[in-house]
Amino acid sequence: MGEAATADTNAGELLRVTVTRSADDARSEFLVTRIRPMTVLDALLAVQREHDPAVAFRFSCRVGMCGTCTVRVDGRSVLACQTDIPADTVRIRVDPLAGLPVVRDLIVDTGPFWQAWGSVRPYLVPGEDADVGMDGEPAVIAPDSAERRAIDPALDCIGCAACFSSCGIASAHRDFVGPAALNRAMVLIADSRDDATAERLRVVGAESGVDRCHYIYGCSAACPKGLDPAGAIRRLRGRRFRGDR
Amino acid sequence: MTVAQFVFFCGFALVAVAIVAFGVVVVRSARRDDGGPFVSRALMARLARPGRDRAELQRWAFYLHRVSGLGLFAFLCLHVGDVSLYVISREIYDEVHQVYGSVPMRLAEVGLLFGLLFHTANGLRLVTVDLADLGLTGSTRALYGVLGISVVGTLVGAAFILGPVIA
Repeated sequence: MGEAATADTNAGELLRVTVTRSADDARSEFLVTRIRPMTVLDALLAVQREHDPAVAFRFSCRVGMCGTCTVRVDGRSVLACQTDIPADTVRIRVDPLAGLPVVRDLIVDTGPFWQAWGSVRPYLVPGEDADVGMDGEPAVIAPDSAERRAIDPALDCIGCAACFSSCGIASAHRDFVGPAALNRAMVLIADSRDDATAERLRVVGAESGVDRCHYIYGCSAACPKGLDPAGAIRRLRGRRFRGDR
Repeated sequence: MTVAQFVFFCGFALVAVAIVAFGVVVVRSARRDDGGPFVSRALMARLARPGRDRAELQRWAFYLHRVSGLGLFAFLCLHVGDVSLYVISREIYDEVHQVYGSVPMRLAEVGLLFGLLFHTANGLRLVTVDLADLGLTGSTRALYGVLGISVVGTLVGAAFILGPVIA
């Protein structure tokens, strides 16, 4: 631990940041100067700028759109750029996402997450007889329809993997497609324009599908966009006894 | 202590070791792999805050459900064994079942009762989440009910189980 890190934290003027490093001998505790307001990304950038340029983490848009800067802060999976450090907080611990192989420090390989995402064919597949092409009329789902009400709250996933990391099943390397992929599958299954429902239902009904969910609700609690993947999973499971699309 | 009682005690000790060992595995793997927080002041602060953070309690309910499930299964195996002694010898059966009246066994029975109540009530909660389409808030409230039932039921049961040795 460096000299600065051994100094007392001064009534909120300094913030102690503990970063999980992939190299055992790398420094992991840092004291950075507080700014107000301060996000976790601000703190990580301060660590990199003032103490150790080798600390590795990802970020891009800074506005919660790209889903790149997801880390665990005191155990909770969050977007670093969107997470304010409360005024009375004097220390934070930052870990890489759970359940994904660590490339270096806070950078993980999101391959398993995208592999699961791809398994549900995450794009709209129009029917054979659909009027597609430049001259075709757009297929419309009425804004006030039940179908639209089911789909709308589940859109806007940015693929940040916070839900995957927060899920006690997916992050523990058990065979589970994961909340984001199942949420996407629900959106497309509920969409009447889509023609790959049977294929997706086979994926979500398989052993690694919806029945692996134990309703820990980590996904819904962690989603930075306010989506409810657990609700999507309930809807997919509910099809069995409610018969809705 | 007779040989039969000693063998039963050894079996029970094995069950206890299995429960503790599995509990350690669950918590250690949660710490390593899971998205859950470390058992820390930060976790306690999160559980104390209303809203989404309190859903974290459900993660710990999941862990407890697994550990209590293994504990109940292991004890059930032992119990099937000691009850089937009746087929072999009524005397040995009586000897072994006298152990159930000892203070350590009664304390273990209180723990068993908590495990049974929690596992049952939490299992029903998970079924209800599907059937009644309970969201994050509803499910968390149902978990408070599960914990209430488990604690109150255990206290009432403990009065009956420990009553004879306390009095």
